[in-house]
Amino acid sequence: MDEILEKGPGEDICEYLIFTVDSIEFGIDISLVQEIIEYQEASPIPNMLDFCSGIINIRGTIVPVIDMRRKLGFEPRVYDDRACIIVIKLQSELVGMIVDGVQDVARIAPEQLSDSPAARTKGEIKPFTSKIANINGKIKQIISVEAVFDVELEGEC
Amino acid sequence: MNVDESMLDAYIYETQQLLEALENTLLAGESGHRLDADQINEIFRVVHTIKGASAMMEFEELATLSHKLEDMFALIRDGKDPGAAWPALFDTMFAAVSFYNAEMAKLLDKQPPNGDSLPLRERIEELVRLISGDNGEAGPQPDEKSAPEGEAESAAPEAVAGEGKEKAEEPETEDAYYKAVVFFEKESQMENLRAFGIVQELEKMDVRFAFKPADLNAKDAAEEIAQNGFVLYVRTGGSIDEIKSVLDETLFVRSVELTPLSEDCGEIPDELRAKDEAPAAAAPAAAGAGEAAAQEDSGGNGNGGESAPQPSGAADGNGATAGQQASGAAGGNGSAAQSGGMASFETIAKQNFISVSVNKLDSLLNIVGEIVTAQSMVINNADFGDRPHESFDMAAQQLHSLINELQDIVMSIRMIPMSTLFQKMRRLVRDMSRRFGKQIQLEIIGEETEVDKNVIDYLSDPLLHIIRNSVDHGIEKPEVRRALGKPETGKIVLEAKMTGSDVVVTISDDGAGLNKEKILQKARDKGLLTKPESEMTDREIYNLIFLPGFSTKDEVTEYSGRGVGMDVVRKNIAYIGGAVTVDSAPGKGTTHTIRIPLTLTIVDGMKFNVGKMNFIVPTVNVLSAIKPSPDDVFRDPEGNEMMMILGKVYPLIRLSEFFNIHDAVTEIADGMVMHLSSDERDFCIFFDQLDGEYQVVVKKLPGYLEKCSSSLKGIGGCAILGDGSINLIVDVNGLAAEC
Repeated sequence: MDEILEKGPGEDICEYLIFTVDSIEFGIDISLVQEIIEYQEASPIPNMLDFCSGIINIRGTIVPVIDMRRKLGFEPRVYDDRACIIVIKLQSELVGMIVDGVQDVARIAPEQLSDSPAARTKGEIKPFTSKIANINGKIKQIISVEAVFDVELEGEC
Repeated sequence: MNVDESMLDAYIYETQQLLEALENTLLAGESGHRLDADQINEIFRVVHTIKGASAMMEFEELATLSHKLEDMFALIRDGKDPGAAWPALFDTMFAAVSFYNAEMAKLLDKQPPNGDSLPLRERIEELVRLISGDNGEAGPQPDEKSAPEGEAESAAPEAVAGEGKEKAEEPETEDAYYKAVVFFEKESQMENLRAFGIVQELEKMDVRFAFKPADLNAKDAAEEIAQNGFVLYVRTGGSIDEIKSVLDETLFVRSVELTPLSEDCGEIPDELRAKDEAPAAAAPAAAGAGEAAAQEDSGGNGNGGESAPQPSGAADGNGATAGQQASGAAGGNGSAAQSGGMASFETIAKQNFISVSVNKLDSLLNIVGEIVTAQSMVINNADFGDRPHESFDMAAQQLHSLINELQDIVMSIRMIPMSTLFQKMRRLVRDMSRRFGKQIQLEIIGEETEVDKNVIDYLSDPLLHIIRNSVDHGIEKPEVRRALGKPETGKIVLEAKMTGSDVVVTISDDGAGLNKEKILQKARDKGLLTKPESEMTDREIYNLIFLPGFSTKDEVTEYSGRGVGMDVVRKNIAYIGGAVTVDSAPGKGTTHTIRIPLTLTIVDGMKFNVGKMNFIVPTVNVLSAIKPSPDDVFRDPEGNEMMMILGKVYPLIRLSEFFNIHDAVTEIADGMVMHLSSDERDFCIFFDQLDGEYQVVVKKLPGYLEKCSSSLKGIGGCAILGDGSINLIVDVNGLAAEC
């Protein structure tokens, strides 16, 4: 994967994995990402909530998989072989997220980031996007892992 | 490899094992308010071994303390009955065990064992004074007495302690030469280090010596010692017994061959002779004979212990030296028997057990799981097509059974019995009931139940907390109990049992029970109530105690009442996927029930599917599988579905409805019914199709799954089959609660 090197002042630069969902570019803090695997059909679980695709077996570990299209409120579709599963580590457990595709790793300096205006929140949906990165005029939304995977889920269960 | 560290590990491990044995012996003895001869001997041996090992590791405080204890037990062993001092003796011994355990904990933390054993030693000295003083007049108790051997008897403890004072009478005054060949246990390893321990000991004594191999740090020194023994040439003006006892006390010594050498023997190394000023006389035959007799014994397993007089020692006795010799024999005898006992202890600790990091076992388990999957990929490989491949099939079959066996073994490695955990509670109950002035009997049931190592680790704290609570808050003081018409001695029952896929641990006491009003009051004060009080059942009220920051006791005691206890209990148990509940009857007692699913274990199960979802139900819960006839299935007016089997009616759960599965069979005639038994009741489930029997590894459901499903009730875990597919394991007890 190519790395976009954005030269900025030292330490504060964070790396983000850029992925697409419905042609929109999102970023996730790369330190959470364990691995990226090919898309595979997940086994369903009882009383499954709609954003969940089920569970998969990664080398003997059972990993729940979230369908990011449904989770982020896009139209669900049948995934093709460009789709992949980003496996992230949340509180010592693995969770998979199905995305349309993975692009690259971006180094983003703080000055390229701005907080997502709260006005973006529409109705019930809390802001899954916590920060907006502007890299040479291209917008990448940095997702709030807490909102997408944790806090938000409490209410829906 | 770090030699020091691995020796330290071995030392800590062995000492902890010994301490555990010691504690159990003490507890057994305390229930009879005294120790019998066997128990005294046992304790003596344990203390002696700890002393030897600690001295070798150069932990002076520990060694000195053991030495004191050993002295005291030597006294008791030789017939002094502590009488009224028994309770104090037990207290002191328990305190000593705690001291040792604390020091071991420090060592495990890579801290120096810097505890001060002086107060303990003073208590022991006090006891020794009491024991020897009190019984001077009373005379030794015949039943406590072991091996009456005339004057040898009183000399024995001193000889064992290595002080050898009786040797003052010894006629031999001139320097004598000895050759000692020491062989170590085959498994001892690092023989050179063990030999170095001997050298260090001898250096503290007033003897001259040389040894072979001369360079213990040489690469092949350990090998040579293992092959030819560690050869010591000793020149001493005193008794050889001291040296003998040093050798006997050294860990892992298998045999000591001690022979006197005449002065002009060519074998004596020059360095020893060069320092020689006075010509040495002939070796003392008497002492030598005594040694030889004792030494013969050291080869034995020490079964006879100290109580059996040695005929060989007595046979050699003659004339003026007979007394001296007998004492030598008794001394040698005692230590030989100890080293025998010690050796068997060592062998048990050393040979039969090794400690392995659980992480390694985890990766082993994962790898085995992977092998199973890979095996099925090979065997069912599409490249084979339809061609017959008989010899391949045979080989595959063999591989399959070997892998199964491997899986079983790996699984069983991780399983350990509850007994270690339960025995710890004995000590806790003992200490606490004394402190609170209560009389409590702890009954343990099912301690042989085996659970995964992780479960033991996470269960330890919760059990401690619950039992503390039972002793502190539950069981009343004797006078209160008497007034209530209960037996003065309270009872706590600790029980473990397996039920299908769960281990259930119950802790019940016959104390005062929980105070509903007080719990409610407290919950109200702390704002912990989440629903109207009038709607709460008794059980719900009782289970409020598991909420964070809840404690009904007003004052904080040393053992309980910090208000974190029950919260920790719940958290720890939840962490291993278990649940804890409490039930209570005012005035009758409280029962805590901990249910833990076997997180890592093999379950024999039957596989079936409902739509695309695959399930495994533990075979132990299955009564029968039936192709149902629609005539046997009916609904009551409330809509509960039921089924008649052999004239009896059982509730019927359609799993497709229960688990919300849309692509499942709906017509009764098209599916199957399984008749299941749970702890509470028998019931039936309706599903699509049976798919054979499997042996599966139960895995915990990922915690995050709770957020992906509106309810996981009825699912106890999951399992990955050989083909990599994921199957959900049905929690039969959980399902039963829903119908």
